[in-house]
Amino acid sequence: MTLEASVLGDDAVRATPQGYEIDLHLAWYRSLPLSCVEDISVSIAGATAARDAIRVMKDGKSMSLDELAGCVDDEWFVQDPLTIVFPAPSPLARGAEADVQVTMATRIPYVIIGPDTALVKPTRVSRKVVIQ
Amino acid sequence: MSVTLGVTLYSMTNEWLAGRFTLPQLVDEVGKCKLGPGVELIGFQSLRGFPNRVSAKDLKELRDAIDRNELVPTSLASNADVARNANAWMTTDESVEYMRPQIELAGKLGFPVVRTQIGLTPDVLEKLEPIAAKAKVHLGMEVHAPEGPNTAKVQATREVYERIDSEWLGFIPDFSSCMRAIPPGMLDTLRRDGLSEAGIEALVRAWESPGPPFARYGAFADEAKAMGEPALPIGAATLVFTMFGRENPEDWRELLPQVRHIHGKFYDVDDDLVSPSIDYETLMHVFGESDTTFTMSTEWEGHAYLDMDEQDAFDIVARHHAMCRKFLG
Repeated sequence: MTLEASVLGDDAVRATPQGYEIDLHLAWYRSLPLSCVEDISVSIAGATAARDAIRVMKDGKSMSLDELAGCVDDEWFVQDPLTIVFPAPSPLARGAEADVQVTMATRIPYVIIGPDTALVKPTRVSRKVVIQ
Repeated sequence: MSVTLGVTLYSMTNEWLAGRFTLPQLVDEVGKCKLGPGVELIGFQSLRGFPNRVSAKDLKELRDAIDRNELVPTSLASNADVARNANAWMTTDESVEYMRPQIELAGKLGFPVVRTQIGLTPDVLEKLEPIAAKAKVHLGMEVHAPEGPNTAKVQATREVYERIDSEWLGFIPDFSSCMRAIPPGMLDTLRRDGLSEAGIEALVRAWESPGPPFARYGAFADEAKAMGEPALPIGAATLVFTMFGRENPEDWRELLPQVRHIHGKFYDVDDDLVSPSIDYETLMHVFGESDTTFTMSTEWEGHAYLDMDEQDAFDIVARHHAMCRKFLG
């Protein structure tokens, strides 16, 4: 539904010599600390990358998905994209069309649904984009 | 009239997420569309770096935009975020220190109320009370679906409030607690996702039946699966039970002395200025006949299932104001 509509823009995927960079938006109505991003996976034209090969760029820093858990004071502002670096041996050229699928698991740190359990919101977005 | 109208910028979530406005531009648009005088915002939605690292420039631009549009700050919505570290949830003292700058910033910006959420423990509330008193900011705990004025969690908070006995602690009724029907737009979205008319009937029946929301959802999901309904709308229907409560609107009367602000939650207003899903006529009597003048933020939440090109938030907020004025006389 609508929160998902903003996750992946038309020009969100860029080809690089090493693979792709993808700009993602949060599928929530407010900003969250990066520590609440529990998982991100991406598939571009059928190519996927292992969890530990994906890097997250924030304020000039490059982090692994595992490192995000400690980023309690790093804000993912709700209007800002978060750039994901996705390695691929032979990325598609600029201008090519590709089916992209993004899944995210985002912990909502104030929606407590049981003893010691916060809501983890699953997000799945599939769309066709033109590689930039 | 004893309800002063206004809006929460949360109503414009679709437009905000799409990046159509900066914060001063959004406040200007609210002013231009005459959706005030009250204005509420969610700190973690509207302000970059909230609450400790908002730039002086951004704070000044917000204050200037509020002033030039002759708007009045009503409520700044806070969040407790106790689970921001998955491996070590906040202790009482950490929660207090997390809430403190949110309350202090509200005071600095001139918001008389901070919206809090159910879940702040009695110990945290006790330690926040002097911080709120010092900042001259009321803490208004939002009573939102599936809770209502008399549900167990709210009763527990009422007892804590009675013990602490401070004018700085109160409630913000949210009309999602007391709905009379599932919004037609939500049912249309579920139809679009593949739910059949028989599935819609089963959903409505489960929503209208007695019992706790999760049990009612479970009964619907079991029935819908047995009927062969698709998984997508069955999953999406959880929202129906968590977002749309069925408490009695008259029950808010008991909370009136402790009401610090109101969330005029709504999803739809028809051409006759009636909301099919929420009985605003009764609600405006309940709150409008009080001796106190309450501020109420119009809070459109149809963006939970409608995209920006399906409904313009500014238009429907204006229609909600027209409906409320009609019932307030």
